[in-house]
Amino acid sequence: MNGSMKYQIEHLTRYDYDQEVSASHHLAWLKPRSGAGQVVEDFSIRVEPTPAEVAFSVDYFGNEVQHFALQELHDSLTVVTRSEVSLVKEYAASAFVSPEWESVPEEVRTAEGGESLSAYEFTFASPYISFAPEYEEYAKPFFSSGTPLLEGVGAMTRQIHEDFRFDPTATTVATPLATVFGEKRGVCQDFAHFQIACLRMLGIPARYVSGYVRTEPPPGQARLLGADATHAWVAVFCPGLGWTEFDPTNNVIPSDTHVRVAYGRDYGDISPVRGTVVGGSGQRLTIGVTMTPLSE
Amino acid sequence: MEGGPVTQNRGRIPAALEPVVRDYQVGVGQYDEFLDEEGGLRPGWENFLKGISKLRREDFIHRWREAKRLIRDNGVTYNVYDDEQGMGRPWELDPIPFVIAESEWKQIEAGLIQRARVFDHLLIDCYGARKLIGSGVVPPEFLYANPRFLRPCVGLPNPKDRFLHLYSADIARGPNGRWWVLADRTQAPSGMGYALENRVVQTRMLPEAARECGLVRIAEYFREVLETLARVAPRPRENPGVVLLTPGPLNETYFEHAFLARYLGITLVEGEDLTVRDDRVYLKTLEGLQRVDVIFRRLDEGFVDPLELMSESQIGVAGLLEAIRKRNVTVVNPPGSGLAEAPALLAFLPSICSEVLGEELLMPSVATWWCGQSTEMAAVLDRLENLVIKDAFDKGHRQPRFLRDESKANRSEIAAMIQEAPMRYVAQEHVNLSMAPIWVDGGFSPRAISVRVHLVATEDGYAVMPGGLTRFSGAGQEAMAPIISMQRGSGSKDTWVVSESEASSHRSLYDARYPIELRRGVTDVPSRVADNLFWLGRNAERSEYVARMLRQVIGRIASDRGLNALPDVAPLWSTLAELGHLSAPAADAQPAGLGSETLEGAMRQAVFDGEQVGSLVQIQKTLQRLAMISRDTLSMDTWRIMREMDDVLHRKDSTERLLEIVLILDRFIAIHAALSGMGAENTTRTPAWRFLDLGRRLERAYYTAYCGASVLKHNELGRSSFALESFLEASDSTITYRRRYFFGPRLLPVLDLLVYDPINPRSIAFQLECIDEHLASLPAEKTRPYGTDARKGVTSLLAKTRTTDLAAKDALEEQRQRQGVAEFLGEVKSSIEAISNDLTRVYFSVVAGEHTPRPSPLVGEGGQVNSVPEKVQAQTQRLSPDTVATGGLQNEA
Repeated sequence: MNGSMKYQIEHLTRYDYDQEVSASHHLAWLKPRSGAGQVVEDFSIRVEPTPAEVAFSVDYFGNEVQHFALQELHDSLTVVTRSEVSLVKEYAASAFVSPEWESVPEEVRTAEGGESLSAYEFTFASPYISFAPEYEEYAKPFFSSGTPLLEGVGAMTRQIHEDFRFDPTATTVATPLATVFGEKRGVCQDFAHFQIACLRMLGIPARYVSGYVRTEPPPGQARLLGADATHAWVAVFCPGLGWTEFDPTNNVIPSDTHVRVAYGRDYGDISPVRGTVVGGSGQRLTIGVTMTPLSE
Repeated sequence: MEGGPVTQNRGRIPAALEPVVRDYQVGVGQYDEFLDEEGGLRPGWENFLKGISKLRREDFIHRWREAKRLIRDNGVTYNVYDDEQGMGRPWELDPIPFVIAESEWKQIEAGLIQRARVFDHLLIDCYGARKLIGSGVVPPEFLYANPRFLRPCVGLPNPKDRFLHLYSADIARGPNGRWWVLADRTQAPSGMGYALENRVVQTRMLPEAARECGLVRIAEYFREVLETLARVAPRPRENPGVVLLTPGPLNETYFEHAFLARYLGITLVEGEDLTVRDDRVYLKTLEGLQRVDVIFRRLDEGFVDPLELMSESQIGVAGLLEAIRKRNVTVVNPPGSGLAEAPALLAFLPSICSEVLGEELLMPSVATWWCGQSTEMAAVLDRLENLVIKDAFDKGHRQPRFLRDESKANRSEIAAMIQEAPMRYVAQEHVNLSMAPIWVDGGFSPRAISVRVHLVATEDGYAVMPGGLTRFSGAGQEAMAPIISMQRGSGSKDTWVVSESEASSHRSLYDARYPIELRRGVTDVPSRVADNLFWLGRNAERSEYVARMLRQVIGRIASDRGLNALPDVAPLWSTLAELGHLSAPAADAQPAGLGSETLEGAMRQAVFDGEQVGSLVQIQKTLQRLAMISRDTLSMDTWRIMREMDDVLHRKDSTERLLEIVLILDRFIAIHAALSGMGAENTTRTPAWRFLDLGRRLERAYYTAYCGASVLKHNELGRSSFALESFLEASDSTITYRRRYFFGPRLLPVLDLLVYDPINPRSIAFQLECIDEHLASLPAEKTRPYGTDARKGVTSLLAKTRTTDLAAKDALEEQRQRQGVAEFLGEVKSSIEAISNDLTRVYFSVVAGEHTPRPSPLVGEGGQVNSVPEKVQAQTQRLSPDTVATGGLQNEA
């Protein structure tokens, strides 16, 4: 297909345990989503030790979730997925003809059904995204009266990129948003959470997107951050246009460089691998992501 | 003079009771449940009063005292968090039931059945098609902003097309005589077990009144509950595996969980007793894994599955939601059902009712405004001082604020709080509760009441328990208080629905013990229970043995020989010290080296000091704790005996003379005999009992071995024969010895009797025989041709007891025999430890390949587990068998 990109992604997650695990149950949000300019052509998952079965179901947000359980003693767990995904470039490029931002909160709030009503769900605080008056203060300057919605979001994305420093040592998944805002440091997940909080406080629906980003730059372009790990960014809802994505970590509008894996309210809804283990104290986690372009 | 025609049909107070009700004041602006506006009796009360008027006043008071004792002995408790008495605060029951006529009750029933149907529809919709938010009947914020909307529960199957299986409502009557719903309980409603216990106690106390007024039975209701639990099983089975899932003994209503499980004949389990394999739920038992079909859930919904819900939960079952999704298990009520108890819902209930049922709501809720709607919020802020502010979604999240009681500053603070997050708050009207009589100082006195009524889903609708838990406010100012909460120390009453018509009198037999057809679901005890019983057995024996040793030592010191007696008690003294029952300074010294005051102090500490590790009181505390967490497997009599032991030990003050301590120990030891009697004669020979007895036998052999070794050691130093006497006495074998030998205690005969004699129930050999028999019958032995290590250890010791002959021709041979016994006792000590550890390994820690450590969440990608929120800590803070085991093993170090 003309103007399309194809990638192969290998994603490895490995847990090593000091103390053996005797039983474990896991959920994994690792299969890329199809739709909106993205086609998943192939997907496979391999788990070591081998579970009796890897089953799947579809979660509340429409993501496919893999389930597996282990009943034998093990001191490490390895999950490897391989995905082949095609992306259509002109998706997302349509952007900037968006309505005045003020109309958006009202429209989703009063929607009686359809996409707008569903989007309304993404205007509320969620477990990882709390509200604070400072976030609203931060957001307001980008949305003066009459500003087209996506233009405002774009400006905000740029500003976050400028104000916050990428620093993988600064935060963990447990770091509260207030600390991220105070220190102005963090990783993609923190920036996405922060931008979502700002938007939601204004009544603009915003959701969390997890996925992969191409890190090997095309000739002449800068290398994108987020190498060798999963990535996260933001999607904003605009009635009539649907969801448009923004990547505050790299200050780009994701297009054919980003592969979407799952959508949720925040990280907690779609963390790539989660689980409950019996035993298994002293966990160490290793993650490796390789994203290879198969065609230009 | 009789009143006019109006009062002619009204009930009158029997003359005998006039003094009792003379001071009963009807409140102004409140409905009175007992007297009407003219001072006549409300329906139902006349027959009730007739019933109790046959009793003499002293009889009433005497029976009331008996009833209170029964409640205490039955161990009916309500755990109040942060209370001095903490766990095990006795249940408060008033001797006067709340009496209500059946005709009126029928209206309550109709209202609540309709409500249950509305909630059922609502839950099915919210966790399914979600049409109600699209149509605007329920504002979408109600789901989207609601932390109690559990997204992973969307789309779970609803067996029998029912979501809400159990529903309870707190209802109260307003000044106009109408009943209102104060709050709905749809998540894991509590109270039906307390209602049952109240009924049992109340009808035992007032059988005449129950007969006289035509009390309607509540047993049918529990039959319905059992039937519902069986009906919702996902696969058709004659005998579905049903368990009651409790958060554990620290939960406020744990008594009820244990009581209901026993009454309904289903197994009481905690999260760690269950495991999910291949999307099926199993109970871990001594016999292996047993399939579970239905879970009667009393654990908060958020905690049930750490995999998909709150990952910090350590008391849930990982994988449970997927098992429900695959239709392999049914949970009653299903997780997610808590959504319907959100106070915010009350504001929309009338329109939801007409939307889903096409009916008008029969029973109103207390007037409620949800601040999430702007006009409502404005109205609320306007008249804040007349309202109560609550959390909109989570009834337990924060305490209600009564604005009329708040200062002006607080009010504006609350107003600001509402404006900042309006969706999080509802405002409710104050409710003037009706009044009913309670028993105070020999007379009736009015208190505000509310009633918790229970409903269960049936094949084609809902059944209502004709009765329930009536709660009343405290005295004085509190009497008018709008909050009635067991957490805040209100009292409870039985609720008597009484039938006026002769026709229904066949139903009016009072509930004695409800003949009820019991079904057993999963028959085997959870491994955790066996573990607790094992340590219960060990601690019971430890308590008795230590008491016997202390009685000897203290008795000797207190005797007329005074300090001269000290060398006599050295062997027992050092046994006590070695096993950790004496405090540090005394334990290190020989008794002879201590002054008499230090000595007495040390003895007193060894018995009564709750702070001292290994003191009798402390062993007793451990024993009580173990009994508490094993409560559902112990008989009421056993429970009563345990209580009595506690009483005896606490009936002291620190100035007690030594001789009096001996008397206390006499009594204590006598009650111990009753306890071991209960174990021997009144307990079914299940594997669980075997573990109780195993614990006892192991401990006895262990203590006897220590005592024997110490006697041997001191005997070599040439001490008096009192050492031998006291060894016999501590082992309760003095009489046996005297029957057998005419001469006074001598070393080898004493050792023969207490170590090798297989027919003396106190000897080590006897314990080993018992242990061997128990082990032989346990599941793991059947699958291993050479038995477990534990069994092999016992067999080898037994062989030695059977081949030893302690006869001695001369001093040299006696010396050799002593040497042999000392070696054997050393072997017993270490073998017993090994056996105990082996049992733990085979049966408790590793059951069907699963270790006991609690499940924990995986760390996230950032490398840290989330900190545990406060509420979770409160819930997970509980006794684990691990803790108990450590406590028990301390002495062996």
